[in-house]
Amino acid sequence: MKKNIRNFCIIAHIDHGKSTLADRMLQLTGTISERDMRNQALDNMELEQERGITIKSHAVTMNYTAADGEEYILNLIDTPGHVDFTYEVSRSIAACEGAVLVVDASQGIEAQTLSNLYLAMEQDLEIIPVINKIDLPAAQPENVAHQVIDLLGCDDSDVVFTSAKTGEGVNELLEKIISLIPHPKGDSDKPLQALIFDSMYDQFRGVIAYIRIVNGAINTKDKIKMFNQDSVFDVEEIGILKMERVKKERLLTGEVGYLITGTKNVSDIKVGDTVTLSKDTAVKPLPGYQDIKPMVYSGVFPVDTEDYDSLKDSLEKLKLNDSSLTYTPESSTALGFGFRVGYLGLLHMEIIHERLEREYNMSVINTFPNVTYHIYLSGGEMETINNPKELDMGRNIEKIEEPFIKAQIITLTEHIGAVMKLSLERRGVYVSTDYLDETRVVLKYTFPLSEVIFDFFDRLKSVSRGYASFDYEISGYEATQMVRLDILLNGEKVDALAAIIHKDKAYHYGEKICKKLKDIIPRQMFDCAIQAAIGSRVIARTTVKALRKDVLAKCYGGDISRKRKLLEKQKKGKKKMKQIGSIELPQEAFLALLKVDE
Amino acid sequence: MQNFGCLFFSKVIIFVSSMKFSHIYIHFPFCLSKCPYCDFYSVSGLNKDAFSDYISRLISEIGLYRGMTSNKVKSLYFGGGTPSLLTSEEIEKIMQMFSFDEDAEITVEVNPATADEDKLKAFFKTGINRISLGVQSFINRDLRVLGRKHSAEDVYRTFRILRSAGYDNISIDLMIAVPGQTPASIIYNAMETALLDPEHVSVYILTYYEETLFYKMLESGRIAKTDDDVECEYFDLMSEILCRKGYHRYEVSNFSKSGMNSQHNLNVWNFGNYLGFGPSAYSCKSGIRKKNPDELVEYLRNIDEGRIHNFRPSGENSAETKKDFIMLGMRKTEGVDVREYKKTFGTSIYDDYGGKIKELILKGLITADDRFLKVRENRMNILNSILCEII
Ligand SMILES: Nc1nc2c(ncn2[C@@H]2O[C@H](COP(=O)(O)OP(=O)(O)O)[C@@H](O)[C@H]2O)c(=O)[nH]1
Ligand code: SF4
Repeated sequence: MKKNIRNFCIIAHIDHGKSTLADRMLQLTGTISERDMRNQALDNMELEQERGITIKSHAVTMNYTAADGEEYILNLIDTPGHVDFTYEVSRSIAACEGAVLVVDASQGIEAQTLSNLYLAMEQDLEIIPVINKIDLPAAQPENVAHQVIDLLGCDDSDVVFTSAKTGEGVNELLEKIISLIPHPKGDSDKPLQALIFDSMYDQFRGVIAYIRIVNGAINTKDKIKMFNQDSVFDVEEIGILKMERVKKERLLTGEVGYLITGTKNVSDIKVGDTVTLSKDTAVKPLPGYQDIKPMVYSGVFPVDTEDYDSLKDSLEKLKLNDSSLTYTPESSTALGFGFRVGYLGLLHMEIIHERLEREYNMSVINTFPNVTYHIYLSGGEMETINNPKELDMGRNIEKIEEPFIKAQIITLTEHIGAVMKLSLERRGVYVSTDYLDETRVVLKYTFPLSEVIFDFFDRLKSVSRGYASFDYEISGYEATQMVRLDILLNGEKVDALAAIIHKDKAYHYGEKICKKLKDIIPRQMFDCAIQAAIGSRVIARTTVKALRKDVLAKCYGGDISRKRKLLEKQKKGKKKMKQIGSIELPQEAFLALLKVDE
Repeated sequence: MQNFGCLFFSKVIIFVSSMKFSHIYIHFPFCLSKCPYCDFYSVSGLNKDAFSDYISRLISEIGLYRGMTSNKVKSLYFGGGTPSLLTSEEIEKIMQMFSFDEDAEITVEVNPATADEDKLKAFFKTGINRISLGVQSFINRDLRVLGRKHSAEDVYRTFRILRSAGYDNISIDLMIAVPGQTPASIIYNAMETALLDPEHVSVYILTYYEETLFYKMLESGRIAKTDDDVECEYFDLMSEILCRKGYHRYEVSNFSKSGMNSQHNLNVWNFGNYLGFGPSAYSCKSGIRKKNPDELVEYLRNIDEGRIHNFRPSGENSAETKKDFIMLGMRKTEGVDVREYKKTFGTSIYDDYGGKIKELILKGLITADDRFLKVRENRMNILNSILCEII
């Protein structure tokens, strides 16, 4: 049985054709009919389609009769395509024996491809290189094939050329998958060990886990437990994933499917955890489980303070199908009650905010995101902070550490100078250069995470005319010279505008932020002094001059009601602003910090 | 009056018994041509026949309300539009519909482009005793920019005629921040005004009202609006010169020689009652307003059908009425009359808005005593912001 199973994933840079290729496979294997064919069948979340990024991975089982006349089960496990979700990618990869590496014949290898490829290689997956989009006039299949061969050290004959668009080469690819990717190993006599490689939340069924049976088998009605969880669950339903869920009585070693226990709590079912039986328990979990830690934090406050409760509800609901989301209550003198929310990365942050707005109709104010810092006090103890206002510069701080990343940037050789300049601005430390071919290089750097989470990618795209790609992994904490920068309005500190920033950048940043705020803060009845300060030392200042003219020239027997309505409208506009001392601060002010470089 | 339903009639009777109007506004919705900055309801390019047609309806409208007007009308105001297009006979006919208090203030807005000597003299004879002259500027370039149909020379001539006709209460309208104006333009206009020595001056900063040609031109970048700060400087400059020349600023945009405030407009700012005739005219009774149809055609039809709009409580509650009282009162430099407020609403303004008032006093924006609550003179330019804090 298991000798006819092939578990694989597709690794590709965004837009290189992963979804299209998956669609073709679904069609060729008859998993999906022409008529039901919806483009990009694997992406079914609205947000994902707009972004063209597969945010949450899914899996699909295909039946395929190969040239050798035998029937095979192909399990395609989708992987999220963004660096914020590296851990989830690694779990999906861990559920496979092989990976199809898709490279666009007109683009070549990108950084994203590299980092996922490294993940797959670490897990000893069999890699099948595919050069896609060979139908494009601009395609350079030979050239790109060489890059790939160099990289993988594989044979010419291993490379498959496809056009996911026309379907050319896709059959050949399916045959290669069967002949090259090993069937699952595992021991069906051993106690159950199943890897949870993904999960989703269904409002009717609760949490649905996607699992790969590594050893043993799972049956409906089994009593199971998760290794990282004490409670015992009943198996309510198991099955495999076609275009819909298909119920099964049991799942065997090597198979991929879903598991429903009826739990409504996403934190019961954690990606990377191991499922085993509650009686015949496996001795140890599968390797590689990690509690995912948020990398980026920001304050999220309701625009209208009355909406605190509904914000809380919304976050709770979001958390139900996104276990990587964390939040704790936070209060700010400027913004009232809200939450400190932790995200996997900046994209994750944007997604959360968009979902809050779109799905839950919340209007929220977001504060400047920051990473988690380690503060070492002279007494020796270490504190973790993820909110600038918790950094008390007055204490005896031995050192402050911030997270660093190892990054690879792939760019055209002609843009190396510009990319290096940008990297330097972002406190990047150069590591190495590797040529992919005559025109493209991989630059390796280390960066403080805080320098890349905001707008680094956009800047990189613009200095490289859109060609450069970028990927990273967290490498650890290192000590740097960080300071807390406060913003004061008429002498009053605005906690929600504080930032932690490198000492050498503080002046420049302080000046910019003051200027930016000056543009954003509307003129009011009094002068408003904007200051940036480190501790008690003011490093930059500007003033928003008092409003001089705000009066209706004429008001006679005519339209008095209309005039009053005008006033009421004006008043409403003011209400939307946050009152800080005597100053009214528009919501954009809190986002302004994100855009100081513009 | 027979053609009205009984229902309506009964209402009128209740109404009549309660009070009578002694301040009257009459709208004349015709102009020589439409000025590109003006958002008043007015029609241009109509002929004399249309005027007399209009007058006859206007007279029937006044007739409908005959029982409601006081027999000692204190102010009558012919506004527009361009009421100086009317003949003295027409003015007379309208005035005959009312009986006046002996000190009544009877004003006509006069456009210098329409002023002929005989007419202005005849107006005076009918009892018109106050003129509001639409000067705007003494600089021909400004007048051209504003699309006015008169020149600076017309202004001097008209003013001379008015004085020789016997008018001793003349108001001049000035426009500042006309595109192209400089501080010198402001000083020149202020000095020329002072030389003519009118009893009253209204100074308006050019406003770009939506739906005017100027607004569109501004949107499309064909004219440049004067910067807000500069507008204020111009206004302050104008105000300073006028004050030095013996005028007193008694309202946001109005200056007068001692004792020469506009009685008609003061009544509005004092939250008084008034009755308006003509299309788009407003009336106000105890804070409840009603408005005639904007469109001339609809207005005329209403009159023909004998339909009048009554003062129905329009869902406005007393909180809103209080806001209006404050919004209007604060426009005056003397401020809101605290005792009048109490008399009108039965509650003290300090009980209703005490907290906000205190804050604003502490911020140095307003002053208050048991007589008046007022905006500090140097803060009048941000009246709206202040009002937003209170109401
Ligand atoms: N011409 C051509 N276009 C392709 C091919 N494969 C994918 N595309 C197009 O490339 C774009 C990105 O493909 P998609 O499958 O969404 O990429 P993904 O982001 O990797 O999932 C889409 O517009 C596809 O229609 C191909 O083989 N040839
Ligand atoms: S003359 Fe007066 S009312 Fe008529 S359009 Fe010009 S500004 Fe408006």
